[in-house]
Amino acid sequence: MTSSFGDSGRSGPLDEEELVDILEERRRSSDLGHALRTFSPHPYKGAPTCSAADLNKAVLESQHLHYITKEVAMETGATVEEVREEASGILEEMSQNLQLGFIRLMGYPLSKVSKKLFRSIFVNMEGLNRLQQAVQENPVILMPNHRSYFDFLVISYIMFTYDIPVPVIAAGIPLAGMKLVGRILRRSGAFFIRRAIGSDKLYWAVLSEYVKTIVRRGFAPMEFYVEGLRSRTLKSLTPKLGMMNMVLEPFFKGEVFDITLVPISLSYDRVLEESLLAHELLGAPKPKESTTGLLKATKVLQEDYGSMFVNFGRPLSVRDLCQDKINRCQYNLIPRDLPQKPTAEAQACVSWLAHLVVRIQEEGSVISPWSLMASLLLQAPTAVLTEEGLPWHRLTEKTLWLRRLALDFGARLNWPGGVPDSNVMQSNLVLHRSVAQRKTGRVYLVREDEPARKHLISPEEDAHRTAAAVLMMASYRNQCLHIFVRPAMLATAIHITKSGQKDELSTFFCFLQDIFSNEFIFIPGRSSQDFEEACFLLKKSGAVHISQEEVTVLDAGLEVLSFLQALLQPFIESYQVVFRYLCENGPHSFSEKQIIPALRDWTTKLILSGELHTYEALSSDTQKNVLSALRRLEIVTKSRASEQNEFGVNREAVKRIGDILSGKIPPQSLHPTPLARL
Amino acid sequence: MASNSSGGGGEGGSSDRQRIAQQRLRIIAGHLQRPADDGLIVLAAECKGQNNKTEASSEGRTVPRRRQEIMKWNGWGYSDSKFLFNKKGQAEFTGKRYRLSGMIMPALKDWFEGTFGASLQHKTPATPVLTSSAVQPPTLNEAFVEELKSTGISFSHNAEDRVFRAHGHCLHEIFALREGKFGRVPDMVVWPNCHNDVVKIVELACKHNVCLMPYGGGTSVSSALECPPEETRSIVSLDTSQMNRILWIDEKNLTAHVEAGIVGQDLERLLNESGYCTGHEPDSMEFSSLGGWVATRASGMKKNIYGNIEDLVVHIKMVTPRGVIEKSCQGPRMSTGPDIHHFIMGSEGTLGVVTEVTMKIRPVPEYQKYGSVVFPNFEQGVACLREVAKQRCAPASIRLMDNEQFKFGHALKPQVSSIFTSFLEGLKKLYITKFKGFDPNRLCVATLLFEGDREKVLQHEKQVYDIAAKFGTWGWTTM
Repeated sequence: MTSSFGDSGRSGPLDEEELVDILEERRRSSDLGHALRTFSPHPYKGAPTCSAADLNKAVLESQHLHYITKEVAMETGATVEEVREEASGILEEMSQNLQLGFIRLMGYPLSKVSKKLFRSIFVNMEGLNRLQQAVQENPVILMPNHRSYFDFLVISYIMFTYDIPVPVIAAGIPLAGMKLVGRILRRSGAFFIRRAIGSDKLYWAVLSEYVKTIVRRGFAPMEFYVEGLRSRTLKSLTPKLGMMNMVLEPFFKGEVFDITLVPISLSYDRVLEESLLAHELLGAPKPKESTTGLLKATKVLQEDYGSMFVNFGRPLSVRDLCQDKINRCQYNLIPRDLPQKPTAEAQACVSWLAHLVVRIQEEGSVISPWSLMASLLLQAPTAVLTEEGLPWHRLTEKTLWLRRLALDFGARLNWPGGVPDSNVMQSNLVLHRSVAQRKTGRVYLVREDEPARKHLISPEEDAHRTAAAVLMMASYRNQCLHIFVRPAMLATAIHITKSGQKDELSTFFCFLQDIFSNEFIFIPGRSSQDFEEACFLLKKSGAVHISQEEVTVLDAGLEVLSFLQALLQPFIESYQVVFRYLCENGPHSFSEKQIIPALRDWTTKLILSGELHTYEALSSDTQKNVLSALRRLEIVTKSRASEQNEFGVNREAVKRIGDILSGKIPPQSLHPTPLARL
Repeated sequence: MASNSSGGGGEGGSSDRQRIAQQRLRIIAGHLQRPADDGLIVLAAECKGQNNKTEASSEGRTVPRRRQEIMKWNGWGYSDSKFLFNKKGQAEFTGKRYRLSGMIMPALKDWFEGTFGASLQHKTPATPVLTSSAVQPPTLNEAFVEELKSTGISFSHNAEDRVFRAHGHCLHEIFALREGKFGRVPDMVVWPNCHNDVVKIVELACKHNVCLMPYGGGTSVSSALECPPEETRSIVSLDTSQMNRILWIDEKNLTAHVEAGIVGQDLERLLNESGYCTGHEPDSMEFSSLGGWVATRASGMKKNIYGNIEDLVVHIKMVTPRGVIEKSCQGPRMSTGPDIHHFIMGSEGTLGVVTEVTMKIRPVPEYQKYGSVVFPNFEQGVACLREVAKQRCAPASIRLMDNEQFKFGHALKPQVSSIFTSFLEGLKKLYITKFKGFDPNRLCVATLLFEGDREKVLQHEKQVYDIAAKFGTWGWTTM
């Protein structure tokens, strides 16, 4: 009963599936030949193709934009002509200009680079075939997860190789600013969206009309990252709903019969930007996307990044999924072109679908042995990892044990058969030698080389060096978290409540879900199923016995339970740190810009004083997640007074949550008003 | 003013008309003979509060919350616009709002005296001001009032507000007001601001067993606004005047979605600003409201082109005691039935409160042309209009006035200042009566209005005049 939504991938070992290494062919034949191959996709049956110019014209002349232009003109006092001019400028900055020639132009270097970086790129052919079919029938939205810059274009590359119409891709505006590359990307189908749109009405209107027109016309699949940005932690991010809303609106409004969503899971054995990402989490500024930066990054080409997996999920029919979720009649009563805010029902439906897609991405992603090893390594105290190391044989033993558990829980594990297990693990370790190394039968955490500087590095800097290594390793653990998170929450509930009553556990489970719903992906409105799933999995692994009303821990299950509980421990501790900070030290009101560095300093102090052992608490992503969770629960509230996103804290409530989380008081409703969650 | 023009019906036999007239007279008499006691209980504590509330600005809309500030409490229209005989004994129309305003109508006095045998010496002035003591104290449902307060919807039990909404514009109703006679009047007036407000009010009314009477423009002539004298429950008049926004205009489908309280002149003016019109012009359109048109199945004088309200309405939202009723689509018609709209239209507010209406709109016509045709007698006029109907070429508006009305129309002609116009008028009259030999006591006239693009209008006009020519007429265009 492990819920495989829409069967993204069959659970279980990978070898049963037909995975094709697309690089194999590239290694055998000419890349130039590939770039110049005859491209004959089966087009969408619904409508003729549409040039970039036609598309832009349709957007500019749309009734929707016409209304908004008038409105904006009225509000700002500008003439309609001026506003139209501005809209046309926005569109110019935004629009893609997909040309096959440029796909070919990109294809050649992409083949070269891919072969250099990866041993293989595996694609599930079954998914690709289903996609090929789907593309002809309905407008298709490709929804990959986002882990690396490399994600960009790899899907177009695969589509080009297998005669499927090349998608137009939503990208962040910084990419457009890159010299030459920006232009090439645009011609490869990328369209560019500004980051902070805020309340710019005209921009929203142009963007949504542009997106909707692409969906309505259906001439090319649309690709966008529902997570909004690259996950710094390799953990799935809470989906962003703006784009999702725009994409789905043509269906809600009955402008298209159906829309097909195709979740795509991209999994990397080793992520190109691993160390950059860890440093960003520790507050290093994200390097600006630039062409020179890209050229400098060529040194990544010298390293081995293992394999990449692209899993095309089963196409999802929005029409089927939304059947009972939304009453589309409401859209009949207002003209389609009229700007209108989505109703609460529509928002709930969009959010549900977005979460569902991310869950399917998670299920379709491939877990590497290294991910299991990282999970186990991180459960050892950091000091031990850096100083004494962990015995290799112990790690092997535990990893093999965890492999069974992961398979039990339905992981898509990439554990090659026909090779001794220790070799598999050894080669994984070698691949990740930047994070961990084996010396004299023990495994150590590898910290980055000390920067050659004149002065001694401060204890803070030293702590951050350790933290960077820990966060890097944690990100690989995160790749497999989704497999374990539900049973782990149940294990935590058992541990904290010390109860065997099912309803008591369920209450605590729901509390954890509420707190962590910015951290892990939970589909809204499914908490009772999630709880049942957790029970089922624990029972399946032999950890507990479950009767009608009680959950009894079995002796044989202690190992499972303690592993699962330890898996969640860093998160709980990180959250507690932020809670403590807000209660004890933090100012009553703060802006997000101030609080993250302040939190980092404070956490560093705790670590240096030996009070805190969880280096992960330094991750700015986690800290931001805590704040988002508190905002969602209306414990941290935006103070209206100031312009610059000032927040106020209800310390009482924060303390209460902290106490519940540590088991001091029983869980109680966190929501100020009962939130209707679909 | 005009005899029935556009709709069918109403052309009953003369015995019918007599019967109706007699019934009306009976009703008027009834009002006047009512025992005086029921209007005379004086309550000092009454009609306080509410008065000093500042008016919510209604963005240049015609109807304020306290209508009596600009409108007659006991007659038609604006307080500043009325007929009177000035010191010289000449009939005059006051105010500045209309073309006729400030003009003297020399022929009106003679017409009065000649037609009705009236005399300026015999005066029956109306009760000049409303004495609130003459109004029954309100029967309030305290629980309802309390809950209503918590919703923030504005309301009043001021006597003027209540009396203003206790009547339509039937002859007998106005007659009674002029005599200072009030029967049962609403106990309270509420002013919802939007659909949701109405939903709340209707819910509360159901909960507390209160009568609701929707009130739009108050121009009803069907007695639907009269409060039943035997009603013991609290009667609340629901005034829609503050629900007066155009919510959206759909330029693709040519429809507009409008709150039901908007009055005709505002609707037309606002639509004209965007280059559209509804073309619905009932005689009362200055004051009657969209919701009222729907609730009374209104007809407009240009229905030949635009249709009556039932042809214009695409979608209706109505709050009923059992919930909101509306169709789930914007299609103008469906091949299924019965059509729920036909229950709503003409329901006179008995089934619920119409809150929002989607109606068809059209671009403002490029060209308009007025005209008239004179017939020697009414029969010829009817025959001509029959022929026009037969050939299906009726212009936007075509109305046949009988001799009585024709004469009245002439009596309303203002004094002309220019000798030249006066000369032309005289020439016209001379031509008709002397040259064509029409009997001034028998001739009648049809008024015409053509609309559309210029070429088609001219072509259409010619067609109609050609038909008219066959019936011994003489036509001229005025604009």
